[in-house]
Amino acid sequence: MGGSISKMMSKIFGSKEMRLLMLGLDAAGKTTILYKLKLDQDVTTIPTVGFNVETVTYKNTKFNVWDVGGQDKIRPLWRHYFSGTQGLIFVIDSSDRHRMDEARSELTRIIQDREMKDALLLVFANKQDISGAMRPKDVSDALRLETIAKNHTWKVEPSCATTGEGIFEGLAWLSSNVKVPAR
Amino acid sequence: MPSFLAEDPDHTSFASSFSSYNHNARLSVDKPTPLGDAVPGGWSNGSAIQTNGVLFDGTNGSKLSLRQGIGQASERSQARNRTSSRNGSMRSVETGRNSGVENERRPVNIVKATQEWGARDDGYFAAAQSGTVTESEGLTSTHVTLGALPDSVTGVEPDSVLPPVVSSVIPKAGLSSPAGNRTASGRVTSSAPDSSLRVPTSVHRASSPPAFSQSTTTMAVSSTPSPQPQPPGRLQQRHTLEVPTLSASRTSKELHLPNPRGPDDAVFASGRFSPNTPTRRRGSSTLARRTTRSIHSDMHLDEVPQDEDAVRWAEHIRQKRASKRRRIDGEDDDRVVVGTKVDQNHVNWVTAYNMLTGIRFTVSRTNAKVDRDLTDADFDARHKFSFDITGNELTPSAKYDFKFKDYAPWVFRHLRSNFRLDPADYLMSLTSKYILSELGSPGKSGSFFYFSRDYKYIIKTIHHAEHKFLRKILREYYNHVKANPNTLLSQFYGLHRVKIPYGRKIHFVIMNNLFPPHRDIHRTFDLKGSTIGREFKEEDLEKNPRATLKDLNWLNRNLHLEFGPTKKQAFIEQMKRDVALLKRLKIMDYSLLVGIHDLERGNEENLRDKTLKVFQPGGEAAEEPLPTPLMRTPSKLENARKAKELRQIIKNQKPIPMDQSTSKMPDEMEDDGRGGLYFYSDDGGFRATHEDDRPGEEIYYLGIIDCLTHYGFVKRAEHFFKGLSNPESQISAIPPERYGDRFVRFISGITKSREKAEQEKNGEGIDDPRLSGVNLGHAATNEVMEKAEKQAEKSRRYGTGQQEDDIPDRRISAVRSPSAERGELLGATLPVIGEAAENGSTGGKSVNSRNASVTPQASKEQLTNGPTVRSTDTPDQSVDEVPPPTPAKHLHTMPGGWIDGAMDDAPPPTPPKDVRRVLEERPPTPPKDGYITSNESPSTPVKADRGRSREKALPSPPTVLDHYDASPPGANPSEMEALRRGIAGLST
Repeated sequence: MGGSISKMMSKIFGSKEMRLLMLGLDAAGKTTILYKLKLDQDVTTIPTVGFNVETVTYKNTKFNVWDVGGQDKIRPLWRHYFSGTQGLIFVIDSSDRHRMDEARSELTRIIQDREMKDALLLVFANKQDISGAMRPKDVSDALRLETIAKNHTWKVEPSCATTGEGIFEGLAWLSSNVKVPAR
Repeated sequence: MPSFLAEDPDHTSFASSFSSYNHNARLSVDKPTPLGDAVPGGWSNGSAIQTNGVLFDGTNGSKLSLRQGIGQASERSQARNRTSSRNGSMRSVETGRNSGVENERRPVNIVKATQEWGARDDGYFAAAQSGTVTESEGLTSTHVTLGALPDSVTGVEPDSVLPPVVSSVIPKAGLSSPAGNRTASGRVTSSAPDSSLRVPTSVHRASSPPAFSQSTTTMAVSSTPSPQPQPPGRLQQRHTLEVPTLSASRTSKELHLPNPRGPDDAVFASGRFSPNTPTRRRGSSTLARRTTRSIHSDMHLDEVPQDEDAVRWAEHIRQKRASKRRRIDGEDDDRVVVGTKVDQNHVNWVTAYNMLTGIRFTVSRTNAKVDRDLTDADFDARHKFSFDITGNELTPSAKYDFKFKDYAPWVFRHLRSNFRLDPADYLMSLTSKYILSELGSPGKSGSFFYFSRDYKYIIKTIHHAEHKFLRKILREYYNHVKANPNTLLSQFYGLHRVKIPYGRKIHFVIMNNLFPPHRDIHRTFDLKGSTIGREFKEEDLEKNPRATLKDLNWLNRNLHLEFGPTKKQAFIEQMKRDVALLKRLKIMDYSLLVGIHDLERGNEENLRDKTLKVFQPGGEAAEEPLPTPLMRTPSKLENARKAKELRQIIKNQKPIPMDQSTSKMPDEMEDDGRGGLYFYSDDGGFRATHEDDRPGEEIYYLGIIDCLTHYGFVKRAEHFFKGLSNPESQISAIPPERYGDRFVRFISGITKSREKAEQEKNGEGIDDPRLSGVNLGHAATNEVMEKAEKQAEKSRRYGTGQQEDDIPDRRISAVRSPSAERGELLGATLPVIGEAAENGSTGGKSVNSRNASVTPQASKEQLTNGPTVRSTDTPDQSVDEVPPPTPAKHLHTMPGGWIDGAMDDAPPPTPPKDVRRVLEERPPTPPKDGYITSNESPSTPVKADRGRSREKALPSPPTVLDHYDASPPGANPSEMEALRRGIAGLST
């Protein structure tokens, strides 16, 4: 009896579903992160024209992760994936200092969209394994997150997609900060 | 008064300001009430203000009249302004009072105004919608009966009639805000009798010297308060106000014209009106709605833009006539019509939206994967997705619920890469922002066409049968494309199905748009190689200059696909290979779509901007995100609400003509990656070349389209029935084999460089390319040739009619000649025939007299050239191997030259042909071939007929068309019939 109740409780309160959208400039490592999450493998990827979607369960939370290609030509299509997104994972190539401005302007555009106004923002400072990569603090400064994301809950997580380092930490942060949608 | 029309914004402001007006009105009423007389006057003023439209007109009209009397045009505008602004309304009230003082003058003024306005009325009418017109009529009637309110009322509307004065007031009140107005109206009614009484008085007073008052009013606008003082004036005003309303009909008409119309219309359009008020206005309101509706319908029905005005006017007139009736059954009727329209609209829009969403999703999904080789399973693969507002693990959220099915995604992905489409480009142009819809009739098939944003792609709905067929032939098609990357066949980029809940399943394909976004297409042809029903009426062409023309038009214009030897060979080779596939797949009824861009005309006419319209659906436009964010977990109610909002957005969204929107068609070719495809390499098309392969003056955008018609049961039946009444060679529904042969022959026949054509025309091989395009004054010969050609044609026709079975061979021979032409410089031989054809089409005026002369030339040339041609021909056309008989279908189709060409070719194998020709004109010589004889025998009798027909034709100098048309069908139908029958008998 008690067991069943707790099961029910866990069903209602415990397991969460979360819809995540993973964006970022091209070659930031989005697809690699996705398949690291999904398969725990370092897969070889091609530039994504379109999207990959996978569902990953981690710590009682089902993450529905959308990885949408980041070539500049198809960035206008990002907005079609905004609605219903609870968490935005923005992936940064920490070793690519030249494109931080570009990344910032794209990120700004995304989180200013109405559909994204309630979304959590997780920034992966990816490619930490490369020497000379920017540290998370540098990344958040470069992105001016204090300013552009002041209406969002955000976090910069250092990560390395090929090793998987930091990735699950990021997810954990997301799942612990997500507001359970009102029924 | 076009300016008034232009004032829409003011009108709207009126509407918005109405409430304030009402308040004013009430206030005024309240204040005056104690005064009795004064009350009505104040009321009337207020009402006038409120009504802006109607009463106002009255007031304005009075003012205007005054002003007019004064000759101050500027005042009117001021008056409008006043009305428009709330302050203005206050002022206007005051002014109204002022005018009231002057009311005495009013009647006179009104009359004047009417007169003056009357002069303007025409203009107004033109600009105004019928609704206003009716009002005006009512007004006029009332005006006449000023004294007799009831009559006027009756004339106008029953409702308004009851309390004439009131009625005038009511509409206004209704406009402003129902409750307030009503109360006001009630008061008014109470006051009404007074007012009515007064009205006449005012009329009497009418001999107004208003100049002051007007000036005061106008001035008063700025210095509002001062004028109020004159209560009697108010009374009179009231009258005026009321009078206009009552009489409103007339005065209002004039008055309305300037100010009120706009507001009224707006109000009506908004649908706020109570049934009582609107009756008059309804006309206008309906109009307004209709216009919008027509726009919408245009979008969907793809009407031609030019027709829009006509349609609107027709509507206008109809409305005028039906206005009375309409008043009676009024609103319901209106609403229903509007409702359905919007609904339709809505449905279509949603469909398009769903299509784009589905395409984006499915293409994105497939493209993201690492490429791999196709497997057998890929050809049969299909994936089904369901979209809803929340999205799920597989699909992102969409605005609407729908189901989407993707067929053979991998095959189409490979096809796209075969056609050298960049996946990102494809995605972007198809699914970002907006889509275009072209105004133009949907094809016979009833398919809907949508164009991608950049005009590169077409989304075409197809029937289930076509869909199934495409899936069936997909593998062959794929292999063909692999082997022939430069194919002329339609390029299929995707095959999908969309279904909305409770809706039907809609299958559609995505194809290449042959026509370029950056170039105007000046003429469009759809060529099949058959002649029955293959003509677009030239009369209709004037109405719709953008129409797609057909085989007969092509022939009558004496056009050619002007390709020099190199391109010609490539083109024809490819076409043959493509047709071979189609034959193998038992496909028929396809056609060669040819869009001609004249480099000399360039893009000056901006055709694209005029014919294309833009949909910028709110849901798709990033620039205007929806007002409400999506709910995380929307309930059903929320969904419904959401849907409602979207619907509203969509409803308000009208397609904008391209040239009014910010987005423009490019004038430059973007590199779309198709550059590598041979037939689309010249600026997206295939440029004409001269005989020496120099680039020509036109760019052709061509391809074989509609290649999904399987020769199945339906087509067989069509073939059978059409075959009963027409020679088989000329109907379009014939078995694929023959269809393909005919198609190839026809297209080959019309493919020749300008020089070739010229040569053939002139009959004397003129090799100097510089002469091309120049008529050397061979007109006479040409004409002769024409006649000869025609005769030949006719005879051939008959001949063809006879022997359907034999036709293939004969055709082949006939075809040869053209191919020979292509082949190389043998031009001289063929030219003769070409000439004839061309001449016939263009010039042929006097046929009879020249026949004699013609024959000799033709025969001569043919004889001389014959051998050479032949040699050339053979290589090109394997099909043509059968030398003997020429004529059948080709002949029919080709009025001119190439029949001749065929004839020319014949010489070695078929001397008879020449003979035949000769025979036709002369008394028949004994035919060598049985075939020939048969032809001749029928033809001979025909000759006489022809001669007559020609003579008939002669007088009216000829557009080419006339000739062509006239001679074949026109001549003597009965005789022709008889002949045909006789021929048929022979052949059988």
